[in-house]
Amino acid sequence: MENRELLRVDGLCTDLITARGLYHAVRGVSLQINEGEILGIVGESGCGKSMTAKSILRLNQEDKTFYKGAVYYQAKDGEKEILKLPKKEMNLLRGKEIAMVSQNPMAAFDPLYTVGDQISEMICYHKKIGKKEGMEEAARLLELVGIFPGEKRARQYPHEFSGGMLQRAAIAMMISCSPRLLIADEPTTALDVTMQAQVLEILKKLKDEMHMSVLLITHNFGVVAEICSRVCVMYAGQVVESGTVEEIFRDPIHPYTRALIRGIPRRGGGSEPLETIPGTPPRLNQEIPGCAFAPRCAVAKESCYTCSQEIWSNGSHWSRCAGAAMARSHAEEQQRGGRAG
Amino acid sequence: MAVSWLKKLAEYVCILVAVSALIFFMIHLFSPTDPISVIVGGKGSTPEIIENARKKFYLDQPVWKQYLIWVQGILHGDWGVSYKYQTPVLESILSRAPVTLGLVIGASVLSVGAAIPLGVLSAVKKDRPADRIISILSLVLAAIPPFLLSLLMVFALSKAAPQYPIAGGYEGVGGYLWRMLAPCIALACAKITITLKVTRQGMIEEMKKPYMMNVEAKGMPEANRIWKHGLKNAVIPVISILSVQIGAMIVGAVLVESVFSLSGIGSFLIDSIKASDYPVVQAIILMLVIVFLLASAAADGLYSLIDPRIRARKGK
Amino acid sequence: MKRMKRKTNSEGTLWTFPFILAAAVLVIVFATTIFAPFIAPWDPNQLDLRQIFASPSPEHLLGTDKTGRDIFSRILFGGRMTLSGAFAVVAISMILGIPAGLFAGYYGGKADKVMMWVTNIIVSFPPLLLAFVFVAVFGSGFEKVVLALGVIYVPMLARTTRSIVLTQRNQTYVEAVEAMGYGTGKILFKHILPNCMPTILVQVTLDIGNAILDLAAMSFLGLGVKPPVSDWGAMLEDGRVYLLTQPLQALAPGIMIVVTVVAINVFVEEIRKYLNPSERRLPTYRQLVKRGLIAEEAGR
Repeated sequence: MENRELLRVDGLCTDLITARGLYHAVRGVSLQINEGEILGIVGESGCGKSMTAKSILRLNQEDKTFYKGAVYYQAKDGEKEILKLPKKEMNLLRGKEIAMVSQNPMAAFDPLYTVGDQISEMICYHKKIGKKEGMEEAARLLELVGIFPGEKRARQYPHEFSGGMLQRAAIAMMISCSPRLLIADEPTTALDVTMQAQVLEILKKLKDEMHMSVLLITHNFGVVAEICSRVCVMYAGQVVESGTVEEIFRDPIHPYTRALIRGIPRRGGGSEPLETIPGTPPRLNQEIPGCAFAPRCAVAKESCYTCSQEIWSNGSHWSRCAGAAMARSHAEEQQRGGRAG
Repeated sequence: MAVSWLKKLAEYVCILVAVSALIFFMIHLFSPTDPISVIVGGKGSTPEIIENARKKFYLDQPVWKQYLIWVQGILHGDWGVSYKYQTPVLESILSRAPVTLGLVIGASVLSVGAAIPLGVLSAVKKDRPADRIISILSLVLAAIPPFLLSLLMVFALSKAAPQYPIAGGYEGVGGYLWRMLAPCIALACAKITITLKVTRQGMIEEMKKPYMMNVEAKGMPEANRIWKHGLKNAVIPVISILSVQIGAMIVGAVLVESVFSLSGIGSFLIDSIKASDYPVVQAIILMLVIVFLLASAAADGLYSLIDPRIRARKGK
Repeated sequence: MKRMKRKTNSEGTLWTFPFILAAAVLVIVFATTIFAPFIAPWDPNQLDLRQIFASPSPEHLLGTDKTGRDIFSRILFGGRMTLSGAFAVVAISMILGIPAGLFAGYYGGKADKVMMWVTNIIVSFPPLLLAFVFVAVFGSGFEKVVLALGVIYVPMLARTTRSIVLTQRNQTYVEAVEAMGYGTGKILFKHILPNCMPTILVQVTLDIGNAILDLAAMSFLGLGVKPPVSDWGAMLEDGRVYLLTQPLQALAPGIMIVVTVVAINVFVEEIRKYLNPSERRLPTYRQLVKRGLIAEEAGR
């Protein structure tokens, strides 16, 4: 059961039309999510994490967005290419097979309908059941994510919920049709620390008990370390490094990943200031030759600015910066050689 | 709940008192025409007749007392007596009410009924041909005065359907509805633009909101997004212009009535203004103000019917 | 003739096709009415009983009315009344409304609150109804109607001005001139007003269109101009009886009203889009390719 592929993104490019031309939000992302695993996508804001998630469900305005590449989904009745799916089939996939919890819980619900109504509307549509059963199911789901009493809460409006409750209600809504993949876009960002822990707990429970796969998008490495099994690090619309949590934390290759990890606050870290990455991410409205991170990279060479980088890989662990990997193994060798000599 | 309603009621009463006083005193203090000349009509008036008229219309009293008499009368269902016809004002107004009421209600229903679907269509098909056509149409309709539109309609009807009753009376309910159809359409078209624009704008903004993406992510079909979530939210700004629109409809009715030779309250008002028949003028204007206030009260009620947040605020 | 290159406002230019068209129409309408005495082939009030209800001809471009007056000339002179009336209405509303809005927005406080309450009530009534009340009290006539509409437009303009002043109120430049100890009048009219002007001018231009419609309605109802003077509204009223025999007499002024108001509305709309880039339309893929912003790719 483990390690069976559920979703594979293959060279995805998402271009958005803006007044000044195309904005290359996603520039060739490839990743794979297996059944029953939590995959984290980490990166600064504006690096294309959310856009990747939206592209998987094709939630961008159709006539202002162009996709390249492919997204393969292993449905029960065979493989499906999401980017080529007709609208009708897309709607059957959304929510029922792949669901998405969006960033801002306050904005997840229509303010004019009760939370229960909005949950049951989805259940009724996908499972073709009556309104009454839908409401009962909604109440049950609310209790599942720790909102009590479900029946009363279901009849309340979004403005009567707190932010943390809304986020959990949004998760309840999105898992109502037992999707096989849940995309959680910064589910903890808008919440305080205790709420964060609760939401992560729920996600973990979904994975363990319902065997749901989760694509967790976050800018917080701490969250990744806590619940993910594998990670993709994104920068400027590309995955720059990917591997198991273990590999990434113990042995980060890409200079960007290393900088990010050095920037994690540590318990008892003392008064030493946290390291920040100088400079700003590049603007994605033009083509970037070479490595997008080069201008901010401490070890960049001249060729980094112009040539595309070689890819380094070692089993499940791969990185877009072969140079850094080589330099590192070189240093290790020297160290070993030094010790031997 | 009760407190907020009482507050609203108090505000309305204040407005009514202020408006009625304003109209009454302005007319009775500033108007250049002497009421007596309107009452007796200028022909063969003896001092005796004039004196009787003065008594009958309380013109021998000070103005503030006349005002009190007027207000007291209204509270007892007596809206005054016309200078020109010497008949009770209320009776004359009520006999003309079906025409104006039918016109305003019919045109409002038609224009809102057309504006909302068209506005939604225009928003959903933003920048596509359908949107452009609707936008150009509403642009032109906004620039056509209601009387011109009515005139064009009369012109077209008399050429294309000479048997259609564009003038004269009507018989029975069917005749009434048939006779009112053309003026209602003319008025509805003339006043459609604002509702259409507000619906379109509201809908465009609504479709951009983050929760809409969520509804899409739920896999709900487009029809659900547009007609259940989008429309209900987009209707809120439409309600906020409801009372203003009713006002525009009433004024539009004044203009349309005269072209379709309907004797309604509107043309009665204009005739009375021209004839300086002040009891009629002040009665009609006061009535229109009451209609506005009723409309804005209705809009208020609709708000809280639709928006739970407003309900919650009011409940507190 | 070369085909005109149509620009769309997604490019961020004011010189779009609708804008140029609207501006051209307005220039023509205003020029012909201003120079009416030089352009009009006939005296607008000259009767010619041998030529009643004449059809359009080179002599009488739009034909003649029931007393043989030249409709084309009457349109030009009627336009003078209508347009000058509309400008007067807007001028009055500006003289009273802008200072009122400036002071209310700048000082705020209780007086402002009361003023806003009253303003909101007045604004919720249609201008024409208020004009009826004015006419009922002070009598009818073109000047009175213009004055009445001018005053009636004041609260609307004051409200617009006030709302923009509120956005300017806490800007740094206002704080700076306050710190320099300038008088309130100088701060308001020399520093705040120029920054509010674009929005105010947009509103004012729209009001010219509204004033044309309202004036026409008043004249149509017989509460505006008195014969023999005529404006477009009164011409419509004169002509409607002869709609079937001489349709041009009513339709020509009607078309003039519609064309002028449409042109004003388009003009304003395009300026508004130019001032608020967020309202501009996004280009399509084709347009981006045409403009050379992106290379064309096969299969799209």
